[in-house]
Amino acid sequence: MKFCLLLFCPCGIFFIIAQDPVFFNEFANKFHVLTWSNPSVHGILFSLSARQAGKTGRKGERSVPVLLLVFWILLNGRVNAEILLFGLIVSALIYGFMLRFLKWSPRRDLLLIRTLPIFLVYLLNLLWEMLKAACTVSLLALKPGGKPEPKLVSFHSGLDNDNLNLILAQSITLTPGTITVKTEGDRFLCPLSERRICRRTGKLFLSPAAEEISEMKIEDAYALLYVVSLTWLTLLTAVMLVRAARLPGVTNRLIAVNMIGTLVNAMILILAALLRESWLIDVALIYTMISFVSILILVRVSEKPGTEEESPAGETEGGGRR
Amino acid sequence: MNEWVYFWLTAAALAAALFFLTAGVIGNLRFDRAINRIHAAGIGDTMGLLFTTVAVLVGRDNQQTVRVFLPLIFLCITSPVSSHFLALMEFHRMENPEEHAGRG
Repeated sequence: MKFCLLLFCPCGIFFIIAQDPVFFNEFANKFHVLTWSNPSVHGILFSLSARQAGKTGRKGERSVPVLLLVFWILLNGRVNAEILLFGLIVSALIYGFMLRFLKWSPRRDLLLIRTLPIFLVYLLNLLWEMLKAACTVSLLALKPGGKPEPKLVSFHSGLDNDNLNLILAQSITLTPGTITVKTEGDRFLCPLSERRICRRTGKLFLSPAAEEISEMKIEDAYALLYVVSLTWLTLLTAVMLVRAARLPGVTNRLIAVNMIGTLVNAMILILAALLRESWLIDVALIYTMISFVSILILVRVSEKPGTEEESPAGETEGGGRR
Repeated sequence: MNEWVYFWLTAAALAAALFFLTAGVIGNLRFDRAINRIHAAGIGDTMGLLFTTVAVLVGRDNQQTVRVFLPLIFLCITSPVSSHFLALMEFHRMENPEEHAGRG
């Protein structure tokens, strides 16, 4: 409980700040999404935007205090009167902090409660689209043959609400294969690839422990499963470490470092299951935050000098050309 | 016998997670541009960690609760932002962004 309190305040503030439209330069409803000229990925993108526009409408907003409270309950892992009371107080404090220093308004926050069911449906939709896109991109990655070419696609989202556009931009980036690069007005730009995905490769990764475990005790089977997974993840991490050291260019290295962050997160989760130590989950949480902040800072530091001043002009210029 | 069902569910989820994470790494190895590599990283960020979480949640007699989902939620919030910034950086670095501009 005390530990949760310590963890909660920074996590809560971080949790909300990471969703702030301030992170996107002059966020507006014209999107530039980086994707591949792959037809299937393209389809996902547009179905996503259409569904988003249709279902969420213009009512969708965030509800910060409720989010904070839910987050608090998740962090504690159980609910009783004491935890609920503390959660209310701490959430109120953090919310007051954000109202005071981050220019949030309480008026919008009431709206999410009404649109919550729609939002849940949208989340399920998004999850399904993410799964499909991940399969598509995985097959593209595993398929022998040519390399995909990046493309930029831009389109109008048709939404006039900054928060909705933010959610849409986040969703598009979250879907593997598409990344929102810039947003202005309501157009999106995305990279796609010339290659088509015509058939499955049929080569799936199988658990190496598949045959031997039928006679084992279940504890040993679980231990073997987790250890094999951890070993495999360690190998992947080593590969990414070599990539981070040897690839040319800052962006490539940062991507490799980002990937290492994800792999280590997965390793910590599996370790938590293997050792049955639930506090390792908190370690994973903090690890996520650290890797996120470090990536952001490294991106800022390694940008070309003068980019920050020029970028708004560059964006409007690009918009003019399109 | 019931516990073996859970075991196989865990194994299947872990296999799926490892598949997606491996696909991300292989994509990083095989794609030739930084912009394409960001997509590969996205697979691991979302699906890889989702299935790892499911595996941990299904796994036998652990004391984990729904808070296992917190790292996933955090990553789902942070990874688009960092991908966005990486792509933006690469976009600024490209000398002729118009070359890659597709249909609108």
